[in-house]
Amino acid sequence: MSLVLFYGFVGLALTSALIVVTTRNIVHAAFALMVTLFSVAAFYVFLDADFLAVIQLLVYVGGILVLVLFGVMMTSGSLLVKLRAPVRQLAPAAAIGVVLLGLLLHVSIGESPWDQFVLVENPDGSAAAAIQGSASERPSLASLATASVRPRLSIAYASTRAQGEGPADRLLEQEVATALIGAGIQRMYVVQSRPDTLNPTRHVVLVEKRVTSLVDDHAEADISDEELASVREAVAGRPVDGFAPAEVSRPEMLLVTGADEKARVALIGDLGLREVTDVRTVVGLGDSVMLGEFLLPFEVVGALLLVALIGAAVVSRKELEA
Amino acid sequence: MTHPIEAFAARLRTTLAQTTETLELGGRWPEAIPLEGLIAIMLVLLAAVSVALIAVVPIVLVLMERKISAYFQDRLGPTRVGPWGVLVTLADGIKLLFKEDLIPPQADKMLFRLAPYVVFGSSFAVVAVLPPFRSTVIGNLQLGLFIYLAVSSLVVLGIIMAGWSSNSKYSLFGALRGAAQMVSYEIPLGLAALMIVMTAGTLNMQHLVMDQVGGIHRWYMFRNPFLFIGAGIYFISSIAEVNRTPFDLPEAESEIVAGFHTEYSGLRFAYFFLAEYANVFVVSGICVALFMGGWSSPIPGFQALPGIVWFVGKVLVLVFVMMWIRWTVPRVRVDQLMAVCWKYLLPISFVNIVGTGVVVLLEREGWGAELPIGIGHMMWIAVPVVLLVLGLLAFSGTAPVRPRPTTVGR
Repeated sequence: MSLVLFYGFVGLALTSALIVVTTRNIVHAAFALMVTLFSVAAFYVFLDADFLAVIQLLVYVGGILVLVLFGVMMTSGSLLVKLRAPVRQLAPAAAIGVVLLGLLLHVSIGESPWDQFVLVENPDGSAAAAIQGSASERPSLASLATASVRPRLSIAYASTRAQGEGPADRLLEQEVATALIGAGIQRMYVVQSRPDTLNPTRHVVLVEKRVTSLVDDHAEADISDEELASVREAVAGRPVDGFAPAEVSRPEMLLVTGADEKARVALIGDLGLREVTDVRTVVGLGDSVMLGEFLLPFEVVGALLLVALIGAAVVSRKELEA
Repeated sequence: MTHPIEAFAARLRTTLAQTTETLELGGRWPEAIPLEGLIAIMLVLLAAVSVALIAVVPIVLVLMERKISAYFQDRLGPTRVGPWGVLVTLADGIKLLFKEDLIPPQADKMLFRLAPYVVFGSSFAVVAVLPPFRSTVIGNLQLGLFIYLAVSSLVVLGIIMAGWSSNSKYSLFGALRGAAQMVSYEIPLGLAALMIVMTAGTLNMQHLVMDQVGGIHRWYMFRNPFLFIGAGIYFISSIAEVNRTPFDLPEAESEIVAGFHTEYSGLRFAYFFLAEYANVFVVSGICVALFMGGWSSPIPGFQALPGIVWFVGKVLVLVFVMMWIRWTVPRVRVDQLMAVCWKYLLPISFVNIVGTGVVVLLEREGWGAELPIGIGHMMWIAVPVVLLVLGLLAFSGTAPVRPRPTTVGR
């Protein structure tokens, strides 16, 4: 169903964007832009980026677009202007379009750090902190150590492009472990969940290892069979011989790797945890990514938008005189 | 994205499976239900319930408004349809349904048709964040308050759409006024909400309410004087946001006929009408959740009534106050409207935010922990004293400024 919705919004966004550039009525263009921006907000929702979606609505649809419309109506002379694009503008427009498309394709097809955010939240939802590991700068993490709140029982969800047992996954786990230890978290259980081969609707939960010390090169501490079983059962929510779930010390940290959406839901349900907000977006917005790695593209896009805005003002002014 | 509703659906399915097993109904059908399907069904049901609720709410509120306005003006109000005239809005609704749906020939037809849906849709969508009772599913959105602020700002687009597409001067004036007013008042509204977010540290409406459980003294409104003023600012701004007197300039009937919906008739007009009352209900509901304890009981230890009774009761009190204001206070002028927002509400909001920040910081640092009442409640004494001292210092020894006589007819 979500796929149908997604393609619905894709169609909506493309159609309305087409209307924005082809319509001759400036107000129609503005309202079509509303639909486009709204669809983009919907895309953010599909990307699990609720926060960004709301920001999109608040800033672009509720703020900027209203200002644009307000401006258009205040200068009521331009209301009846029939917009037209002179042919001589076609070449530069096409050039800019191709460049922008190339940039977008580069970001979306190339390896991006956006996939590797890990999120951590307290079960009562009181605070969230997040770690982000990017492909290019592996060891530097926006570390949990700076977070003011320490998660106790949490689920971290690592979404990596290379899911499973790949080296990238391993590396990410270690990074997470590093950051967690920096945050004063001593015990972490890495839980791997993958579909049961016999019954694909169920997921097998594997408790792999426990990290007790960060200091000595992310050493994996030994874990006894009993302890492993107890944690496994705590995760599965069922009592085992000699270990009632209540007795099992709850893990301070769970890292769920390679889990798909359903498995995550099931795990959280089994543990009686609250939902885990996807802080990926918050992180991405917040500090490091936008103003760190992507500072240059960010600035370039900003400058481009400014030029486009001034250009639009100039173009519409000429139309008025004509 | 893991929403509580997904966990809820998973639990529901497990319960279903267990029930089938216990009752020996046979079959493993509950486990065969896809989780997504279950969630979809539940979402549709929820949406249906809220749409039904929100269709009933305006009917009740319109009747309430008509009765209240009648009593304020020493009239009887509607008396004919049903006992005490309670069915009059139903009759009105049916009348509106059968009226001709006129579209002015000069109007921009597509936008004209679309505008009521934008207003209606965005007014009704925010109902999703209201926390009417203690629930892990309803109103339990991590970004609840934020979503409200974002989606409610879409209403103004619908108003502009309606005003412009009608191609009438009154409509356009109404739309312009509406846009200016709503964009302006969103700022003090957002700042007042920000104070609550600072104090509570969450945007989740359910969490906000849970922090206020335990009696009237736990309400954010009474936590400290800054939040009390914040509640006032929020309420004033929300009246402006829903375009009601004294801020009903976008539809001032004595100046610009009916403002942005002058040209609308029939069902399309009904959409605007419904949206206005749904909006009244929603802003009151948000105000209750933010400042007045939501579904929690105001009496400490008194838990006999279910949460929804308290919630609806508090909302109706606020709605009554809004109607009281509407039928008592005259409309402000446009310049006065802007002055109230930018010259008074906004600076006061900024001072309030600083004050709230101080209280939050002091509480976090553990100040006043040994006192019988919290540091915020101490502020109720401290702030007036400080104001009084400042006032005395500022005005002692200065002669009162006599207003310069204005020359008329210069």
